[in-house]
Amino acid sequence: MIGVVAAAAALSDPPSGSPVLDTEWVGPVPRDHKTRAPATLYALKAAELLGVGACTLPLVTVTGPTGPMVASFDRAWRLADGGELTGPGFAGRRSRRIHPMTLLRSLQNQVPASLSIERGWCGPCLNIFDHDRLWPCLIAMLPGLIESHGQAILLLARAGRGEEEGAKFRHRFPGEDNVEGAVALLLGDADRGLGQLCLGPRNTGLRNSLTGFDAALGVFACLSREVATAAFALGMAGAEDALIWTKNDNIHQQNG
Amino acid sequence: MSPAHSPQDKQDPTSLDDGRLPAIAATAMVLPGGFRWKDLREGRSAVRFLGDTFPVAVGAPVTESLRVPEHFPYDIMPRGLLLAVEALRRLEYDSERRFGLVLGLPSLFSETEYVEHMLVHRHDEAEMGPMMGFAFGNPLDYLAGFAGARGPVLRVDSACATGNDALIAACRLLEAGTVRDVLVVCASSMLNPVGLALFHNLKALNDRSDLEASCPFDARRRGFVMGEGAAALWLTVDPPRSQVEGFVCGYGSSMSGVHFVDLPEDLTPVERACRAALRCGEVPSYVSAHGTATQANDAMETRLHRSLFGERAESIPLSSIKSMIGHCLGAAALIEAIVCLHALNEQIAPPTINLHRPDPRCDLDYVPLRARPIRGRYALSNAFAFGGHNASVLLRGAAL
Repeated sequence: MIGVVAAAAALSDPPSGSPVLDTEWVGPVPRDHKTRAPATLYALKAAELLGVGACTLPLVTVTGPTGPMVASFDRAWRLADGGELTGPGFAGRRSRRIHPMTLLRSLQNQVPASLSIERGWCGPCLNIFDHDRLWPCLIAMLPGLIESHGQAILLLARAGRGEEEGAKFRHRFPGEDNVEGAVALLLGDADRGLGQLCLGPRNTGLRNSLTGFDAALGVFACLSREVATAAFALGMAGAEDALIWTKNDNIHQQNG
Repeated sequence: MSPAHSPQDKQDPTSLDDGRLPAIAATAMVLPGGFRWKDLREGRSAVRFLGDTFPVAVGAPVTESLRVPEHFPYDIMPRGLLLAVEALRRLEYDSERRFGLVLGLPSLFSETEYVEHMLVHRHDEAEMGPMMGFAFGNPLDYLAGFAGARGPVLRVDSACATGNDALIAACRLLEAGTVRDVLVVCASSMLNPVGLALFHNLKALNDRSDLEASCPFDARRRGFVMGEGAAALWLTVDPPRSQVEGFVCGYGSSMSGVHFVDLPEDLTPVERACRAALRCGEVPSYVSAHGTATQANDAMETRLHRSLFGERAESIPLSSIKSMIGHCLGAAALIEAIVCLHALNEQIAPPTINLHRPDPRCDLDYVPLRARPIRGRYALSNAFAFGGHNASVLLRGAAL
């Protein structure tokens, strides 16, 4: 059982209706293709709204697509003659420069790195790829981090609407919403705070398995709508294959 | 909002509830040049000339042929994934157990073929189809199926610190008690024109054109030599009798909070990771340096070693196997952790080769040129990555 002490989100679209919480920000983030991937920009905004200053709390980041990575290589592509790739060594053709930041912008660990640089979050860090069996791992690992440090930060970010990334998403999750953004959760003692997260059995009526980000998005929607309890389907075979959100009784005082 | 605890050094737990340490029951490596541990012990070099189509002259490729698995569902097999499969093939683990899998396969470090293919074919639906298979965790799904993992699965990425972070994540899964066995596999392959071009543009790669270019702590060092490879290990709370290669005794990680390619002037965050790994002040008999052969890294590591061990710093050997096999990026740290186990079990420190003209700023015992006997139970393995990830693990051999 994990307690949600505080939550914030920066999203391309509201999870349901218009924003309710002060810690929710909705709209596309300004793109800055040269230095930061879109998922990083969402993550920085959500971290700002969470309001946790420089600290050595453990940070677990969950990153899906960070943005149109392939587009980072566009310039070299467009400069190509006859459809052949160029660039320093590209297909051994001829020398063209790729922007020096291309590598850094394309790295999957850009999200935690930028949070460390901009927010001063310098504690232990684990950066995980998003997938639909993620939450059982998180529910297993996070209590140890919370116990040793008092609290921990979980931040999930995704920007998957680029041309190629959007196609991949539709291929894997047909019919699902492809919300871009970041959800930041400050986690702590299960009995204090806004609500609790644990694993439980899946209700028969639940839809497809959710990625880590989508389940967190659901939790955030529960918070903003003050939903008492909810279950989110996970891609884990077995008895505990849903993430269960339960609002704490004191949530009204917390929000008030 | 203030965090519940003020910033201070905290120890990460490592031992399991019953006080036992996570045991490493089996290891496997896929190294450049077809190398094995004995080649590293003997100070051989896997660095070779690459050819005219590459933007740099030398690298350290894996030279063994890699078999594409039967029934592989996609048309394109990124080399990083192929290396991971090979490491799992070589790992002797008990496939009857229910185990988890932690995969360290940094996307850009292992799938540059994917980027190149998408650039060429992105407007061609038929060609793009196979690429869809790699999206959203499919390398993890594929390798979990290949290995037979029935427990929790994770894919981590902290660039060049990925190997240590994968090992730390596996320890955390064991500590949580949700699984009793975890396979850790890390792989990286960027030794292709696109990958090399990306690092070359950052001026991180060595631009020398001789076979001694990978020379950590040497005055002539000018960046790292790119390698590729993979490693895998079986971490368990119930090791089979007579099948223990070592133990994970401690670990720590931190973020430096500096720009992506900078190293911190203030070593506090880096030290925090190392001290967490050293736990109760154990003194290692060997330190596996990150040792990339960049000017900044090697000088920083020398300062770090002195700061951590004070007067004892000069008597604790640290060496860089990257001098022999180059920098294997996302696989490097797990390879180095396994090398630490071999070093402890044979009580011999692998050398830093090509160290003929020591940098005056690097004035420690880097085990130059030849392996050296050591005596002790512990080895510290450090990894520092682009983005400011610091991750250290303390290992204990099975021999003592």
